[in-house]
Amino acid sequence: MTQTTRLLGFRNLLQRENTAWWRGKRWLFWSGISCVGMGGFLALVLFVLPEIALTRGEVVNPLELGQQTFFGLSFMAVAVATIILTQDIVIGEKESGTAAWVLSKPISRSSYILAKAAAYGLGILVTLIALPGLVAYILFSLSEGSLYPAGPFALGLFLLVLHTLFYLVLSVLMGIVTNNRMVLLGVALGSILGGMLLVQVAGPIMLVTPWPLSGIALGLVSGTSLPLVMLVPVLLTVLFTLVMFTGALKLFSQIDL
Amino acid sequence: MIHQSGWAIETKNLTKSYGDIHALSGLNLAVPSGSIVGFLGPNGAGKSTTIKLLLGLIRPTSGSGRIFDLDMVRQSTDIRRRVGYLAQHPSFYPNLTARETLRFVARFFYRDANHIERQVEKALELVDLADKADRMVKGFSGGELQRLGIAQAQVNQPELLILDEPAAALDPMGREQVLIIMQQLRKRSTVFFSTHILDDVQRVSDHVVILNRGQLVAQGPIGDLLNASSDPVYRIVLHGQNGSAYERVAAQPWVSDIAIQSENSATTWRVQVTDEVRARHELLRLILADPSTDILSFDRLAYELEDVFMQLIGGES
Repeated sequence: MTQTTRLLGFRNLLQRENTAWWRGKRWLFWSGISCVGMGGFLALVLFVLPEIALTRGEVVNPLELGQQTFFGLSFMAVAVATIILTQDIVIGEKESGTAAWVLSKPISRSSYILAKAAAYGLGILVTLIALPGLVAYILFSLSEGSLYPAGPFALGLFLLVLHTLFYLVLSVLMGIVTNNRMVLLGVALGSILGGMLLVQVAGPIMLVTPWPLSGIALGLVSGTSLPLVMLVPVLLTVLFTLVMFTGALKLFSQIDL
Repeated sequence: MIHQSGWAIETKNLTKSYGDIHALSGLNLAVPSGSIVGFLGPNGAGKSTTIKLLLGLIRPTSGSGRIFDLDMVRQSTDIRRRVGYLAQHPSFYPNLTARETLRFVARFFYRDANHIERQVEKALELVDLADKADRMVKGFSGGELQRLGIAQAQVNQPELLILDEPAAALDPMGREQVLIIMQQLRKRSTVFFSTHILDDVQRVSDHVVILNRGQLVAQGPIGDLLNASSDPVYRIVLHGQNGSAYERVAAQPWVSDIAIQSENSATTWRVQVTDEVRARHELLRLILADPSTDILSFDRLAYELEDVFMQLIGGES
């Protein structure tokens, strides 16, 4: 199959998926939730908690607490939101017959999956990462009284992007493998929650999983010098994501619709 | 377009199994170019499986198929450029309007925006949805969805239209509309449609394919199928004495059976014959040779598709 054949119909499909994402109120809803929710929580930690602590005679470092809150919460919350948003994109259309209808047109099956992943990827990155990231950056800067260092913060967000893409692809893959939403949710959410727990107790073995990314991001923004071995989970997350996505394309090219 | 082989669709031993279940067994299908073909069979006969195989939506377990002389598996994309498909339960994107749905489909076939708009307008007019073109699909009734389904299936002016139960779940008016549209489309396309409604097939089709339990039971021109189903039967309604006429007719070697039914002063004969040419030429003369017999009516009984279908499927079952 040539490159052109593999991407047959992609532009039209991507346009449709993008329209579906941005034309409705969904992006506004999720942007609102993520910006107001995360921003509000972060503002509380940065501006209110230190004052409360002070009245009790305690001293807290608001920036450190804010960084822990933002990166600790974002990795889990964005991954969960990604699963919720994408759990139905393949299963739903397989069940309703929409996938069979679309694929009866001269398009490739790869285009169908790529367009969904690209549109949802972009939508999620903008509404769940970029916008709340911008809100957080402004709050950190206000808290510090000067511009917050952009480089480490951007690197931290980049790791959040990798982590999110991993779960997006896992969700798409599971949607191809099974028609049971409970199985998909069980595997994907179980992986997020189980990973967050295991990473606290399982030690070095966790380096071959995407779960330490949250800690690495926190280390980067707080200026902690990280050992080179911390590149392993980053690279492996990229590799796993690519392998899962290739597997998803291969499997989808073979399933009966 | 008439293809080199003369067949729009041709399959050889096409088989689809799911484990031990054989959804389709060794199907040898031959659909002539330029025809309207009714694809019949009871529920679970394998009609939808066949259609999905033709469209590359599922893969055959064994066997092969060609559409427009193109291989069904290896050249599926090329085939789908020239085919229009309406699913049994059309499921479109609910938040698109009818116009957007047609535009979305047309963009897979054409690049020129003006041409796309023209095709969309034509399709909307064909199915009488122009006044509802800018309504969201999610608000459409079953009949409107079905008509939109036909519109999107032919927006690329396909050489082959595959319609899976196009008139199912429609009221009589909707059904009538769909049949009219199909007859309009035959001017440029081969139409292959599956249905349960035998009356529709008899009305619009020139060929029939009958499937049962995943196997081909019969296929061919509808006239041939109706004629070949049984020996011809003539029905004659007589009045008066007819004993000698009966003896003369019954003595003919080409008469295989005479069933007699009397009602009031009239007698109805159902004469089954083995040689239609001789029957046409001699039967009436043999009866009229008796001057005391009057003939009130004389006609050749036409078999309905339903009779043939029941005979074939009943026999199979």
